Amino acid sequence: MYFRLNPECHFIKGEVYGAIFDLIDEKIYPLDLEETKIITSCEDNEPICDGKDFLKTLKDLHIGNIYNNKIYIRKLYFGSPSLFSFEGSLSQLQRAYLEINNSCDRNCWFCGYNGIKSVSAGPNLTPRADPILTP
Amino acid sequence: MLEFKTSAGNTYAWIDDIGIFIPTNPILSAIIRETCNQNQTSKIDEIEKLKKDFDEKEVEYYYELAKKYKKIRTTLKEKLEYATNRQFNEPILIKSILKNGIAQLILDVTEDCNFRCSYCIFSGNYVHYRSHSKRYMSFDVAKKAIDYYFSLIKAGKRYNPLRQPKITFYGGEPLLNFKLIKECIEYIDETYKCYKISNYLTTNGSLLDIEKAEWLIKHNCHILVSICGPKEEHDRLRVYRNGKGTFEDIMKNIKPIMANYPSNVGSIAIYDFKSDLFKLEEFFNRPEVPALILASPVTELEGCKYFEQFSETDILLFNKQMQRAQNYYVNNFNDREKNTRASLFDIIFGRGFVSTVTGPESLLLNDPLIPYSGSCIPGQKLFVDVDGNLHICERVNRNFSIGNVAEGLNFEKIGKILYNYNQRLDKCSTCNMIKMCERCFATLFEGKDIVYTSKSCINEELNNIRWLANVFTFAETNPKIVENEFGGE
Repeated sequence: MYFRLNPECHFIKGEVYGAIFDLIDEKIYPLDLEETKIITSCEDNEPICDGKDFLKTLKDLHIGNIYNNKIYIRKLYFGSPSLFSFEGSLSQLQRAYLEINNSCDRNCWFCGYNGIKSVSAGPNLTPRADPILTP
Repeated sequence: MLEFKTSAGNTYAWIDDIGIFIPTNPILSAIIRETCNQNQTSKIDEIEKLKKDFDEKEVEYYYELAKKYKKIRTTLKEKLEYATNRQFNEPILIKSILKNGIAQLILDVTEDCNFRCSYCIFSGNYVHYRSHSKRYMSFDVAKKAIDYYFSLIKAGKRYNPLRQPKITFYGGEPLLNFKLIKECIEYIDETYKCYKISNYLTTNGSLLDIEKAEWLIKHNCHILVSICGPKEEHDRLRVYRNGKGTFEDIMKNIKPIMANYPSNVGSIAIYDFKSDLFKLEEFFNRPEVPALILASPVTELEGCKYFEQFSETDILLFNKQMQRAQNYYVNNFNDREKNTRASLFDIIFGRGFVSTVTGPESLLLNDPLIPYSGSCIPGQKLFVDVDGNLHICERVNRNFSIGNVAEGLNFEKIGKILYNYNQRLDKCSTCNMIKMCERCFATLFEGKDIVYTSKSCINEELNNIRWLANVFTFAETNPKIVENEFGGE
């Protein structure tokens, strides 16, 4: 028997622990060490050895299923993975940042180290990183 | 929903209005089919309907799973229906082309060729395509085309600052007009210095001496040579005007280029029902042969006489050979040498498998300008003939001009083509593989007309089910190929 996460559930492995991201229900399931090992093995298409109860729980949560044979799961992506590799394909803005001011009440040495200079500062605020940036 | 079964006995479904493959079973299939047909099926109704045939708890479980997928179903078909009957005006078309188009400028530098290959679409065997002629493009036409293309690139920067201009020199045999190619590249290098431009040349290789090759490589031009396999295979398909085979002359030209610039030259192969695929596979693995970039069967278009030479037995034997080749590829995949370059079978099967699995877009609607089929918007590519007329693509016959280099794109013509095209896609709204469709203007235009999909898509779904079963049978045993190819997972 084999267990595989559903197409919409991505297993992301950190250095030690992993987590399952359910893209439809927008939930994250953090895993402990043992659970991470079990899911790693399952997602490598290895037959089920340990953690049957845990896998049953995942099945009940509709984030994976148990199969008799090795199965291929094409994970759900937004768009098409093969189109990502097209040279010069259309870029998309994923996030916009609004810089609502450029002053700070702290004076951390590393802030602005890479060249962001402050323009102005209020009476009680320190211009960012001026002491570091000024030669 | 399109269902298919692999040789291991697993069943899958492709759900087109999400763009997802899911492993399925009889209960889940039945529920999805029901929920596709009726939007408001209650759990109680569903359980009542299916409990005679299936376990009630299982039905309940899969009902919830189907409900989960329903959350991300796009209202694809309704939106597409709306788009089908719409006429698009100039601002919409300009925006679409600047945003998604102008990917490539293709200059038909000459209609002349020193070869007479009978499979070529310009051989006279294809009634809706031009034949060879002595006509050559002038620098004046080429310059206007280049300037117009770069004006679009510049205007499109606000939509896609990453877009890199691509210019392809096409023919006939483009090297018969090498003087023009040189003039064009020198003009582009001089005038458009701030762009990172890629140039491409597709040639039959007979005029490609080392001096020309060095000049082209120095000017960032990728050279693609048409080679159809070892001598007997190549000479059967690619001949001079007098019928003499061309293999030896081409290989003689290629030898010094491969010795000095092996990574700057590639080959393109064509095969037909009499080709020996295994001989081709062996040939394209040889180090002295340029790496294979593309391999495709001879195009069978309406009114084409080329295919009259093949008997039913030829076709049957070729199909069997194709199946044998596919089995060979699948069965020996893990034992093969890890080449840095793709083999013929990698391109026909491996790349085909990968693009089937990863190609269709998930969770996105098709472009409303062409809601169905895999066609690009006219103007996404610019194909310029020797007289300076703009066309949709080099593969589309010349009855559908979309402007000229002096006046630019004609948006009224493009709008009319799109409207007529969308009207003819009468089978698409009931199709289960809209997102997978690869049909386009090249295959749906017949002469001056556009063919109805209800006429042209016969057996398409059945063929696709067979292909998907093959692809997933392969993917079940080699899942890493797809994942490694695109760095996923």
